[in-house]
Amino acid sequence: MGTSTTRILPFAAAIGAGLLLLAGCGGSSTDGSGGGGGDEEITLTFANADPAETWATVIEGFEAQHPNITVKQLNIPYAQYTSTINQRMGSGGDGIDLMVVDAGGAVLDWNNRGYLADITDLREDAVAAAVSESMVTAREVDGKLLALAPWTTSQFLYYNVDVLAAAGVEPPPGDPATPWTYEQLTEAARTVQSAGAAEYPLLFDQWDTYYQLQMMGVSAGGGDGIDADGVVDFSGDGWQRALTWYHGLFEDGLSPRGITNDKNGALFQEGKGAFIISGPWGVSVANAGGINYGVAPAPYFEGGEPATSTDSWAVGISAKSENLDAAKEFLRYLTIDPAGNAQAAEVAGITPTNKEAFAAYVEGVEASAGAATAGFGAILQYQLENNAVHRPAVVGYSVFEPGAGQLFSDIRNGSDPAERAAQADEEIGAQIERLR
Amino acid sequence: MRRSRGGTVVLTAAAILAALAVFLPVWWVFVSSTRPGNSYVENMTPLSWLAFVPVGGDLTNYSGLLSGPFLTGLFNSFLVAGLTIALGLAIAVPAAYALATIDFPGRGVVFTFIVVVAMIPFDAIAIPLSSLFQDWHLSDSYAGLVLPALANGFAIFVLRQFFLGIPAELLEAAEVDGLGRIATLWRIVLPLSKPALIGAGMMLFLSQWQAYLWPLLIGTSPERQLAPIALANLSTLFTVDLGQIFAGSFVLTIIPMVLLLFFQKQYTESLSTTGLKG
Repeated sequence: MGTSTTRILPFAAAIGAGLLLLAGCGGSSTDGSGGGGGDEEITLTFANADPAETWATVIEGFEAQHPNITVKQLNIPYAQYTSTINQRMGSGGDGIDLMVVDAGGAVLDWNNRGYLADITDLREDAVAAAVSESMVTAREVDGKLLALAPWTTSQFLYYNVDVLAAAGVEPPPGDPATPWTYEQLTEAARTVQSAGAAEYPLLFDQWDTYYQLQMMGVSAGGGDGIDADGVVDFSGDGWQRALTWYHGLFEDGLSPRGITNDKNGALFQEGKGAFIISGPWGVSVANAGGINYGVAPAPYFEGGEPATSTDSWAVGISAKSENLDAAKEFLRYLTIDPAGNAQAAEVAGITPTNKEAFAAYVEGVEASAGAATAGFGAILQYQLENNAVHRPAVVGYSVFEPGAGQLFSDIRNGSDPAERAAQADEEIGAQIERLR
Repeated sequence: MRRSRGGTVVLTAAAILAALAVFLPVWWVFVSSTRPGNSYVENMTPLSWLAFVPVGGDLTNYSGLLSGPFLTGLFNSFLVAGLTIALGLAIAVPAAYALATIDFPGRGVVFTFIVVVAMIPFDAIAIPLSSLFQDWHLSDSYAGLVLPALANGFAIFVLRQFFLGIPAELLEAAEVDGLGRIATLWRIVLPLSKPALIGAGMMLFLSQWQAYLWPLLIGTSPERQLAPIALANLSTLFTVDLGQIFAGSFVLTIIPMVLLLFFQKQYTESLSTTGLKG
């Protein structure tokens, strides 16, 4: 037995050596040093929900200006981002210094969990640099600024010029002060359908998402669907008007059931849709397809107020970061510095929030497709300044948003808007109660 | 005789149908991956037979995919899977050999424990385990990606069952000739165990190749991203390049398929021997 043990020992040692070698292959979460000033080497870990190339340009620009700071990315797939951050931050922070924060209640939720550092000292400079003040204040909780948005969004009505011409439909006006109503849009889509000019008369970039439908409820007078106390109301007249209209699109075959969100841009790009309501990224999507298209302001309900969904990811600093000053420096570069903000938005092709970067972005987009995008900048600026609706930062948003998505999805698939909304009010309300 | 022929026809037809049901989706993914950008939708709404014909496409999606972070992901996936096979077998082989040949007290209990633990889905323990790994500073490291997959209960089970099938006389003869346990394992048992080693190796490979949750929790920096995470990152909040996603999906699917095809005989043999002795 003793001999066997002796012979087993080298074998075990070999395995142990292998494991030690393996352990030596990594384990570099952060250098974990200091506060950011001076010449000490600092590594910032930046968690986001994009491919690495999206942020690579701005990181290179920042590192060139700050040779002692290295920014390391954690690229978490979008669909799993929030749950992964909750898990990592919930179990100690995992060396994360900065992270993207979704719009709406995410900032409140992560503030309540103690994940986000107070960055109110950046507020004044951020407001001065931003296209609109609300882009900054939408990320405040109890007077504390918790994140800054390098990107913003708005909604547009894109149309296929050739399809509308084939159906004999006059294109919507490009003047942001006089958008079409949803009723006019429906009528035009019906004409396209009757003429058989396109397979899908009306597409949305994102079916069933609160981001996409919030502006319809607000325009119809229904508000956000949730108030500051967390009371859910999709049963009021406003939301019922919006939801009944949404329901009718699918009942009448103007919009398709069974098409997932990743296909909508592709369908419009390939000339299979007459209209699509989409964000600023719709320009690059449409350009890639080589179709003849135009851009108009997002519609509103007749008699209601114009409303357009807005916001995008913001970036916050982890309350557990050991590199607070350096992280603030990076955040400042991402948002307040015009060159940095332009770099931050360049690869994603999304709208930057900094005034100077915004102007350059608009110029680029308008030049990208000639007449098709000539009015893009005017529409974007007007909507951001006059009728942008931010997702509500309320307690229970984390259950409200998926609950609303389920409600919209069921209505799209045929549920009665009134009955289903009443059920949603009760169910989402009960879930929020439990969270309290 | 006639009845037997009828049965053969029915079984063959069923086999062809089953093969088509498996093959067609993979073929569709391949054909769609040859369409640039999102142009595959051209033949999808309404569905046309052209969706299954690779005509008029090209390989730009593959060149685009392999010049981006997916290539690093693919390299990392091979590296992690390779390390897992090498170190996993280095653990499973002696464990299985001991369970099969050494009559130590509590052997049954240890074996039962290994089999029962192997039944627990890894995802059920992934979250608390990832917290421990964070505490040990193993986040975002190859070690963090490889370590949890090393002690694979099923691999130990497959190898142990195979070792039980090796005639005891052979092992006794080796002992009479003066070979110790390790030498017997190395010189006599392992050369006979190629099918079982390949079967166990495939299990270890597949456990890493298809892993998603753990790499998500442990390592997502661009340098250490595994291929499935790099593939998921091709779909962002704003844009989706479905052509490249199809290409990536096809690459990730075809690699284990080719390996299984290559090692089919040994893999099947290793699994079929697991029920012989117990």
